Amino acid sequence: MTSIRKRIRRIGAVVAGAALIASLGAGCAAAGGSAGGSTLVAYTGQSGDYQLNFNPFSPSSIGGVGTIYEPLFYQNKATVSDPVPLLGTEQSWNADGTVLTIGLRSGVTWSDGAPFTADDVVFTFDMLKKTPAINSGGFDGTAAKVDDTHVTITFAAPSFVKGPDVLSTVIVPAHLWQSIDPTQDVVAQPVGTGAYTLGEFKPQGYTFVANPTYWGGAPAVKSIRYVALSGNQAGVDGVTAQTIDWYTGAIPDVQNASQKYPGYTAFTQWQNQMVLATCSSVALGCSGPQTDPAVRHALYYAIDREQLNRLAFQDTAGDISPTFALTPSQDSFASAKVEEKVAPGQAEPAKAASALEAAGWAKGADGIYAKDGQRLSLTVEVVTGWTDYITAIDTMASQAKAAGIELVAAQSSWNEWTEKKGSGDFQLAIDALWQGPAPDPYYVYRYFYDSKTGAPVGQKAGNNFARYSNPEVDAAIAALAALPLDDAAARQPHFDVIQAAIAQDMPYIPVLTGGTTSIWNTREFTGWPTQDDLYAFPAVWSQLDAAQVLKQITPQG
Amino acid sequence: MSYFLRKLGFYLMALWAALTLNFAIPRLLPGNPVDILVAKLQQRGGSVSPDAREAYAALLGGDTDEPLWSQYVHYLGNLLHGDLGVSVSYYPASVTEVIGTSMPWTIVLVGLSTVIAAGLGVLLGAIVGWKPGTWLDSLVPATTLLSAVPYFWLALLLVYVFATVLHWFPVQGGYDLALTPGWDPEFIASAVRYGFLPALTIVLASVGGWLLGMRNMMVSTLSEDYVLTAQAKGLAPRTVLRSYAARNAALPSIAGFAISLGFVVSGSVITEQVFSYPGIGSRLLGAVSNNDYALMQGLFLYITLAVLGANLVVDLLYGFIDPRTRARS
Amino acid sequence: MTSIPGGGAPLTESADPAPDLGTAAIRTAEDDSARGSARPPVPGWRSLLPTMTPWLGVGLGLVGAVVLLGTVGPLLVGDPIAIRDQGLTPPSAEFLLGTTQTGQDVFAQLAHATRSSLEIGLIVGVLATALSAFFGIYGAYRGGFADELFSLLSNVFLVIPGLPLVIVIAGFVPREARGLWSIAVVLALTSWAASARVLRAQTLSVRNRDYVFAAKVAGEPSWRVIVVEILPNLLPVVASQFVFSIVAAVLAEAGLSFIGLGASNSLTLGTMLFSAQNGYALSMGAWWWFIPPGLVIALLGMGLSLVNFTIDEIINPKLKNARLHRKRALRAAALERQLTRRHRVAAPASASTVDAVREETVR
Repeated sequence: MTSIRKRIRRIGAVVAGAALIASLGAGCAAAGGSAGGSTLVAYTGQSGDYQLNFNPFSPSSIGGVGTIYEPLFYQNKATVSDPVPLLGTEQSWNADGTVLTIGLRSGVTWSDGAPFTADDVVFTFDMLKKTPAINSGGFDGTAAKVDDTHVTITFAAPSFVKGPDVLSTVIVPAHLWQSIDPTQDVVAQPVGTGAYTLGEFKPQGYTFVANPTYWGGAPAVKSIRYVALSGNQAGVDGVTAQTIDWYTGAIPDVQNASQKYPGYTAFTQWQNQMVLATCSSVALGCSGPQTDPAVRHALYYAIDREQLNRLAFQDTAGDISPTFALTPSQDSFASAKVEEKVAPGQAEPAKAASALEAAGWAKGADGIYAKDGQRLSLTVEVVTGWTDYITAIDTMASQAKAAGIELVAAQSSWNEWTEKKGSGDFQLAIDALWQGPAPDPYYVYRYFYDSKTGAPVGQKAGNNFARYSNPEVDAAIAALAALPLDDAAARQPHFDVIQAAIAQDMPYIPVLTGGTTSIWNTREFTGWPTQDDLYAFPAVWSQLDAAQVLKQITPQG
Repeated sequence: MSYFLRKLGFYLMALWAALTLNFAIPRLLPGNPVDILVAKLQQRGGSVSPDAREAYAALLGGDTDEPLWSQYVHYLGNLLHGDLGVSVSYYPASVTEVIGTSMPWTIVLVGLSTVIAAGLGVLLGAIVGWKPGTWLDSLVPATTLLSAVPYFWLALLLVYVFATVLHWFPVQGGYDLALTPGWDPEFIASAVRYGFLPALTIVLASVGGWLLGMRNMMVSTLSEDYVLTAQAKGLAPRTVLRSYAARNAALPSIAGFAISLGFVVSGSVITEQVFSYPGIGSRLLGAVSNNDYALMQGLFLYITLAVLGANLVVDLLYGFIDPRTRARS
Repeated sequence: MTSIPGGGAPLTESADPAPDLGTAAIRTAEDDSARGSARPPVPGWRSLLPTMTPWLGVGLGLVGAVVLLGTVGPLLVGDPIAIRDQGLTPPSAEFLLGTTQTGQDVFAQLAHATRSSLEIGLIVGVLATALSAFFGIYGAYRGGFADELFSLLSNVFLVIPGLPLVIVIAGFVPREARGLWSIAVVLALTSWAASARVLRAQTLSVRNRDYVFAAKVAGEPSWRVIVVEILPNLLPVVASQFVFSIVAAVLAEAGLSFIGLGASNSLTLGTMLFSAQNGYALSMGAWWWFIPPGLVIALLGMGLSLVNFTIDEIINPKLKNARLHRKRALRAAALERQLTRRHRVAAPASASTVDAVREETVR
């Protein structure tokens, strides 16, 4: 009996001792996070550990683009603006768009001391062209050195629209890269011209340190640490615990961010246009009620976008234009011929009803339209993990029901959802159309509306998974490819053609423009982008933009 | 001897069947690595042009024309050489590298927690079974309730209370990132501090099972003749408990413990999700979502080897430590 | 020997100042039934049924409450998925458990989710038990090659990874039947192996009993031997495994849903927790959304585990004896306290109350 009591006491002592040590340790340890000495902790959404890879051309590259390696120019996608000179100082096309002449900055050195010259630029572009596996921009020009500070890039056909891709390509040092395999090497010690160099790498996070020999002067933020966590929830926890200084992603209660996260400011910028993509072309094998344009229009009018924004996106989403030119930043490209400037904020059931009835649909006894015995019931594909989209579909389903359309959400794994979109085995899918390398709607049209990137149902489609096929639109896109980006007068007629067609056919039903919300530590750092001074797209995962922000901000206090 | 050989033979067959299944199941997953990679890049905001898709297909060798049976033969052959292939989602790191960085964390956290939970549960179960009728009896329904609680729910509540509200422990991670992994006391202290909450939740959730099992076995054992004889001989109760009752009662628990050690390798996906702990579980989840065949196969290989190995060891050892099973068969 | 008024066995041991109540007490209980002094003997089949104890009462109560919520609840509450403009609101008179971030009624969701989770639990329980019974019992009865083969099969199934299996099977199941059934099938497939091992071990010990040999020698067909001779012995174990697999299934479904692989199209307790987590319920302080689903799972699990305690007692009668002994010991101690109090009251002038007590206890 006593022996048992003794044993119990012994166990209790051990447990209590362990707890005591742990709590002592807890008390002693610093609160971590943005340790004094101006280290900025950023979370890019990396879920799971980092695997060392600083090869900027590899799909599993973990970072360094913009911060360690620099491109020739920086394109601010947030507003229509001129490219910002980085390694390049001037750029000009010849009259027919086949030769791009770039002037390079002099006095730049690589972080290992070697001088940066035109040879590096030529080497980089040649390497890309020779190695299709890393040529994700599809570069097909020929780079040639004119002198130490000038290069020309020659294309076979007019290639004005390829300019932004070329100017955003990062340059790598020829003297180091000529002896490595660019598809396999992980570049454990990256050497670049950028404002930062690699400090140290650990699977749970890596650190960049300021480059004292940077051509623009050493940046004010002396070190940046990128951490790997388990997901967005962990990111939010980090912001709450003040261990993360910059985070981009869904933030709960974002409208009250300054009270909930004291010392932090939230900022939302709109970039990706959310759509209900439809498998739209009967000719290419699609089937279902959504192949009827009247149905797509009806759905467009049935959505109550204000309620949707409030319930599913916490009021962070913005307006969307049926022309798919980002509004308001790309409004100058919107055609005057399209009457609606933005998609309606409230539901317009009358318009929906008239569109359906004009196409022969009649309301059934259960309140849902039907035609030739087929009920107007549509399935919307969504990925199980995307709760904001799932909430959006639930909301849209009840809004559509009021207008006589039945929407059913079908959740599946990421793998399956990607497979379905690619092969055309879907009716509706909720997705977002992303922007190209420059703030110009041409890229959206080329990626998503050009029949060259589509495919019949059953075969793997590229970005045009709605399988939209319109010869007039194709011709206009091809014409735009041959026109310079700043020739508004010549380009607008083509935009008019495209926008009139897509607003009429609506293969992608516009929903809202998704807001990318970032939250950053304004107590310890200042100089972040603001609405008045939107010098970069403020997402920490958008590497080229993030690099510009990191060079601009300064620690305070 | 033939008993051992037969057992070994059947385990080898089980291993082969498991390897074949591990080869087949990943390939039955919908989607292919290239599409998924492109979709992932798009979601993160990268502009993926049509040319990018072709580039990645070329890089990852997405569509292999090799017939399935040929792939299978190569797969088995590579396994014998210890070559687990290259991971697609962490290209170009090899699978062994990817697993190697995260395996130690899982083994240490989950392994230690299992040992603590088993040890604590067996000890408390022995005490509760030996002397029923004390306040310790209430431990049984209490720990059962803890075992019936969904693990991640308990974990999230604990994180909320101890980390977010009270700030006693860090919210996430494996160790303080300002330190470098090594065997110095500062790093170990940091690792212990970060691992305390995850370990606590694992222990709380699993100690109930051990306790209950041990207690039931203890009660059964106490009615055996040899225990009565030992008491009649006049041995001290503590000696009877330790040398006669507990040893025999612990036999099934030992078997169960060896098997759960085998499952330690599969890590705990949920633990690592909640605590952002850098272990095998998150690799597994990532491999499955990215259709990374090589990484999936590599991870399943380790899990299979660990579990089958533990089973085999238990089967063999049981014949060793409990002569009754040997005599019976 | 004190004879405690009011019945019960003579408890010599309670006089022992340092009682090791373990073995000796159990001996007494057996002596008691042998002597037949206190109660008529209990018929054989009745000992197969559980006896009502406080624990069993609590367990049945909890299970009953949850089952009631799941079966009757959905008929009484409103639409669980209707969205309302009010967004996230705490509990009120109209919404007993508040609303989610899209204004959905949490209590209505809870009722429907409980029903789905119970469905999953039951399907998995039945499937897994059927599979493990077949592979465990039949294989062990047959012996020889069949036994080794089935054992091999159990080992293989033990190591199959559940995670990708979920995705694969979900891809093959037609969309209408997807969700509930695919998860249930996967859970059943990955959980039968463990109980099969237990049943195999039990059958191995039962099949060598005399009456089984007698039945075989008498020429009974093997199905009859299994069903009539072997199965009744295993019934408590099977019942215990069945109850346990229901608990495990509900917990596993919650876990799978949490990492996003759950029965996505249906509303279960696991998917409710997943939505709550992704809706940042805890960070926003919305305890009414996050706590109830987990609590329901916990209470269901606890109730079923308590029921399992009683089934354990049938499997292992020594547990029952231990409990009965404990009950008697507590009762004896209570009565003894009563007696000493009565003595103190009855003879306050007595020379030494302590002497009286000592007299009493020594007798």
